[in-house]
Amino acid sequence: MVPAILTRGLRKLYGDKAAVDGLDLEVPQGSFFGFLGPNGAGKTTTIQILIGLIPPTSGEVQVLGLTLAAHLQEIKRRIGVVPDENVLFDRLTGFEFLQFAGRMYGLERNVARARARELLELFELDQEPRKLIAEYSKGMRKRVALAGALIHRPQLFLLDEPFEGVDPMGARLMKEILLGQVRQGATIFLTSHVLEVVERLCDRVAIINEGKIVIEGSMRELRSAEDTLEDTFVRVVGGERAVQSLDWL
Amino acid sequence: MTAEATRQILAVLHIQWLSFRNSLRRRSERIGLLFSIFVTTIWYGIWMAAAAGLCLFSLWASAERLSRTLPALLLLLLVYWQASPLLTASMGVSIDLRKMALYPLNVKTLFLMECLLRLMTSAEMILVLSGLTVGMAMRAPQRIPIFLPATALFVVFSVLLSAGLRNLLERLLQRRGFREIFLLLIVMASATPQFILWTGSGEKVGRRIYRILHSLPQFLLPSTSLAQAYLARSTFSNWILMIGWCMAAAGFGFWQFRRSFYSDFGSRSGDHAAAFSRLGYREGPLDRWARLAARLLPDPWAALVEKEVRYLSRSPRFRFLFLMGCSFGVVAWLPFGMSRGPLATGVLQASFLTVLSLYALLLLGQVTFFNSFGFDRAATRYFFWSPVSPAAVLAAKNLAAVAFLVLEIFALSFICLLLRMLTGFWQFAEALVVTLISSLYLLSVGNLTSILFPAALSPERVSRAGSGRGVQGLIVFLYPLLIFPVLAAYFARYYWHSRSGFLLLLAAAAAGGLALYLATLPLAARLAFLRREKLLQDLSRGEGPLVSE
Repeated sequence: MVPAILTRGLRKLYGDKAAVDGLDLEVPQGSFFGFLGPNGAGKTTTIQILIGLIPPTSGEVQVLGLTLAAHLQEIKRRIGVVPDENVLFDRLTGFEFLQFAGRMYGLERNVARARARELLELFELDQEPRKLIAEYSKGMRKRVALAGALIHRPQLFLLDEPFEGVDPMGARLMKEILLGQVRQGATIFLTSHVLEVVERLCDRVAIINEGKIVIEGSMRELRSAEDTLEDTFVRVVGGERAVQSLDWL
Repeated sequence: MTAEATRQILAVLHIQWLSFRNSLRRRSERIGLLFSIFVTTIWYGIWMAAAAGLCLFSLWASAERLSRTLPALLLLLLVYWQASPLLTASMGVSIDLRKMALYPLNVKTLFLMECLLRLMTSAEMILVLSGLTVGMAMRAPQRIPIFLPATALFVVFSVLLSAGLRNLLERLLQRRGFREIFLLLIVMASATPQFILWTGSGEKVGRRIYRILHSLPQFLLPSTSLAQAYLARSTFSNWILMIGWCMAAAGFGFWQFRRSFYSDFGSRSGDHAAAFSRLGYREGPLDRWARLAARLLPDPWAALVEKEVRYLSRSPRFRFLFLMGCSFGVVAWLPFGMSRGPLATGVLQASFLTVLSLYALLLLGQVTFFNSFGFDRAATRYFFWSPVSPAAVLAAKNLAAVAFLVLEIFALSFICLLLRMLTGFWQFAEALVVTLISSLYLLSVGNLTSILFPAALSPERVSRAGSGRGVQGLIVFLYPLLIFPVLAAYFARYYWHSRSGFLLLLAAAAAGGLALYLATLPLAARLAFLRREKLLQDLSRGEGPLVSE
């Protein structure tokens, strides 16, 4: 089976600085893949390249077996995106946004409308239907963003910090929905700083640092009886150092 | 002012300077800055001329004339000082309280900063007052120790009062109903001089105003106290009054500032929640109209147009400018269009509705097609990861803007009908056709400026200035050039008295506009794709601790 995501020698330069530096990544289809790294490692840049927001400087990128450069529109039809920042249209209600998203992804209007209603109910956002997204809490925004990514039943989900700011109830709901998608054959590619969540959800993980993959493998490989994922993470990114003491601190 | 407060104020001003300096890395900002410098030079040149005129007047005018004129002059200055920002709905530079609230800044320190900002934005008034003071100083140098402190007190009073009024107004403008009432008041205030001109009752009105002013206890006014100081007639009570006024203004200003400060704390995101009812958004006629537009088009166009119409109609800034187009334009052009007015011209009478429509087109453009992604801001990236081409997005946004333009033309037609300025159906048809043709040229330019010079727009900040950017100011300046093909048709009509020439040139303008639009749309779409990184960066950019309008 073709990988859901395949990159070879992917590079993204900003001046002299390489945000992504020769990234070789392979994400199997049907997997729940965690893409981890410290701040500034290149996680968000990688996702932005994969969704076509920014062009790579060099390297090969394939998504769902299609070359990114040649089949960008087709790829976009098949992926669902939840970005890290608040990039929702905040002057729409949740329902309007979901309908809009559905229609943008080619759904018939009545289908988009019906699915929007169902998704609002599923994500427990239907209690205040007239509320504008501008008035949503951070967690609600993440949920409606995920709903917007789900409405067209994509084959691949690209989620950048999907659980950031989400309360435990909302996070559990999102996890259940995402796991359900994986059981139905979808692929989830997510970044997160919440390693406990990654440990519980992901079957494969890659850790990136300074634009390069430093370790990749199954959760079982990366974790052992002695080491948690956090221990492995800190060790491979070179984060182990004595905390300096400051005179005034 | 304590040492700590001074340090904090200087720190804020320093990072504001750094924000401004870093923003000049963007080419659009540099172009905008050049244009702003040009416009500012002309603007302050005019005020300097006024200051020089006042200096000479105070130096050479007879004592009797000075005594009669100075109190009224200073009162006018005071009224203009307070009213000008309100009438233009342009609040000038202000502190972004949300950002400043994180730091251990005393609210009094912030208020002091606000007053300094008000002082900076009152440069015109300071100039004029300086001109008067220099003239009086040359006339009577021995009185300098008297009127210099009085002038300083007058400035302090005006600055404190304007700080209070500004904060009060900004809070009130966040309320839905108030915005529209405020606009109506601006329009009425702007209409008054036009109305006086039109009815030819300037002298009568002037005499009545003079009588009213003289019936007021003028000795109470701070402007009178200052005039007395200039005229060497100040008494102890004048000084007490001046100081009393300053204290009252300080109390009022601080009270309003403090209310704004804590009301910003109370909102979830000061930019959003305050503008909306706690009960949520109720669907209105515009939402139904948006769905109607969608029935005429297939998806994704319909979805995009529907979203755009909803988005714009829910943005206070857009609604404000839409209403301005319907009202202020009428008021501004009325003396030229009415047959009885002293400024009436046959050309403008015959094409009055067209002139209003073209003015409305320009106003709408500032918050729509000249900066199509302004209100979307960071959400613009959604268009780049969804399977919709940038050309479709731009075209849909253009369609939405044109839909509002057509709505505005209908509204203007109704107003002209009430004013008996609409002679028949053909005048309406002419306005519609000419404006739509002109829009083709402006949309063509706008699609390019939206990609090349994007700027995030706050939907909440109600200001007459669209994005406040120099580039868009340049477009306003070049407006006649941009619609030259249409103006050429009118030239044929009124100079050569050729109706067939008018229609022929209009048809040519339409063809040219359509060709230009069809050529620039894919170009803009291609640029959007190639420059998407920069476009998204520019739209996600915030401002420094001080926010400019």
